[in-house]
Amino acid sequence: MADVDPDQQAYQPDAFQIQDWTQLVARIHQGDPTAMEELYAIFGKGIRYFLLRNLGVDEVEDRVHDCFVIVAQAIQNGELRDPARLMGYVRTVVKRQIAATIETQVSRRRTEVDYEESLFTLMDWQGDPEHSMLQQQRTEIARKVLRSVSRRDREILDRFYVQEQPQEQICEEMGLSYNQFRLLKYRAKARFGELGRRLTAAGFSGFRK
Amino acid sequence: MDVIHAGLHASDDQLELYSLDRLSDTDLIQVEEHLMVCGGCRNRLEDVSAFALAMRNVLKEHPVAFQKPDEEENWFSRFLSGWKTPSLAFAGAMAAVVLSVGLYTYTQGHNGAGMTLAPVAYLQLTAMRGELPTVHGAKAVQLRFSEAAESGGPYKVSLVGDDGSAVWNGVTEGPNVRLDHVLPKGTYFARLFGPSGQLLHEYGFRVTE
Repeated sequence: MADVDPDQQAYQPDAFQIQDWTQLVARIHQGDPTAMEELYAIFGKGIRYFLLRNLGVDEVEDRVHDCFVIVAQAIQNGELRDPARLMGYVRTVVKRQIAATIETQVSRRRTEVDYEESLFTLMDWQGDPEHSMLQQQRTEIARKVLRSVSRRDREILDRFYVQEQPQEQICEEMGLSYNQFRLLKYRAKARFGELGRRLTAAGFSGFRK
Repeated sequence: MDVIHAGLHASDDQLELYSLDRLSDTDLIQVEEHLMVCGGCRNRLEDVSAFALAMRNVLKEHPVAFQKPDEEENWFSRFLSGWKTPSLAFAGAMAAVVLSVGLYTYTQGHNGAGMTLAPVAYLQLTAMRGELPTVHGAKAVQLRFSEAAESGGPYKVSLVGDDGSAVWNGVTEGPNVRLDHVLPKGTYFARLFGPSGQLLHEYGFRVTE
């Protein structure tokens, strides 16, 4: 595979439509039902994504609904004083919901450890079989990628992904330029994606085509 | 680190650090607020996370022995030049015998199966749903709690087995805690309590042979 400058291949930022939160917040405050629909259209997928990522699929629709109720009530009660902070406020509500749910689950697990239903909670927390299979596939692909790199490149990746060294430190100690460091990661990622696409083509799910 | 404006997409580097829980607090807020409204960045985060987490897991399976570049280049030539001196050759041979006996005793003494245990196993724990992280058995285990702030303690840490039995208790000032004894193979849950005693998070992990 021909090497390509990762800077040219990196995602090109483009202007994102900046929402006029002031008008939207004002309309929700006035009880406009179409404004609530707009709010849901803008934030619905994002809220669901964060809840799924942190808590899993259980009761996700109820939790999304709870978040919207909290946000809508806060706006209607005039608690959101700066409409420009709407995105930040929604994020805060979601994070609080996640933290509260985790705390409730942990507390339930501690107090109900002798009961049968707590066993279900423990099993569910570890992820579903499909998720585990996907993780195993990705792990196997990562092994193949690492088998194809030199010991030095492996050390560089280890320093970054395991030892959590900043890229500046890695570049200095390993005698690398920033672009060399990025190129190494870019090649490994490209190989990872290529092997994943082959798996997808062979009928396995989990990687975008 | 790049600055994200409300209307700009997150960079690949930022998404990678986010997936590894290593994004600075300032960037974290901006990235999460943007992810709340941007499906494109959420898709990219999934791809970036798949690679970064798989790479980290596999690299942890087989830790790389670190050497500074100058040491890597010179140790063998220094070794050879030392053996050119007859008196050093004899002393070296005796040292090799002693070292062999010592190594045999050491490995037998630390594992019934005769396997060598690593001095320390490092494990970063995050309050994320999914497959439990796995670490190989070692003489000591260093845990890092992603959600604990540097000098944000004192945090009380309680480690329990999968049957809820207490394994270890301790206190730490920051996100790192070290257990200086061998954890047998099994599943463990580490509970992190805040300075006022409230349960902040519970993390699960597995120890393999």
